[in-house]
Amino acid sequence: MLSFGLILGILVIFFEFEFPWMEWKMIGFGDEILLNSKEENTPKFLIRDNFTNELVALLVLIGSVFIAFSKEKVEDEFFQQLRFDAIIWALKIQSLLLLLAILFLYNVVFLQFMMVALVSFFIFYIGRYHFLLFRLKKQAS
Amino acid sequence: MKNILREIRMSKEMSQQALAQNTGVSRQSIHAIEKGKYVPSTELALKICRELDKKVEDIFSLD
Repeated sequence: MLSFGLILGILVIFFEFEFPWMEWKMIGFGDEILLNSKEENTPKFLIRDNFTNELVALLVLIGSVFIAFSKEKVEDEFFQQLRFDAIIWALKIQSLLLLLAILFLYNVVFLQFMMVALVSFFIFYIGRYHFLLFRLKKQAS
Repeated sequence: MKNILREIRMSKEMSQQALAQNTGVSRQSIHAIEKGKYVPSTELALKICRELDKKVEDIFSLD
């Protein structure tokens, strides 16, 4: 789920890929001009949009949450400490990248970065946790 | 905090796996404690001591 979401996400963000059949009206709020969805006689709470990007965000978010919160066979206090260390590390990296993005990225590039930043925390956390786990298992074996 | 868990465990001829199973943790946790990379909670330290029939201060001590 996560892999498919990430691949689809890259296509959506960098190649403006969209599934044509995913364009429909749905309850939602947003800027009509930005969404390019201004239609006559349409209630304000109904928007027309292509939902490929929403699908990507949902796939990556749900996939990340499943992986991030999946338990070990024996989930003891040491693994909770490892998770905590990985969360702190991910938070530091996320904050640093956000700081750099605020300073150096503008306009659409900044928006694209913010879309990635929505889920990058989970990616950093999962990566760091599994790296720590891999290193530990290698030392223990 | 330092410990001589490995020495005590070896003297009792108990494997990391056996100690881990009897104290309800993973083998990696016992390994990390022995290497000094992780300081166990009071509860786990007491369980380990009970399993090895030792007092806490026999195994764990301050640097």
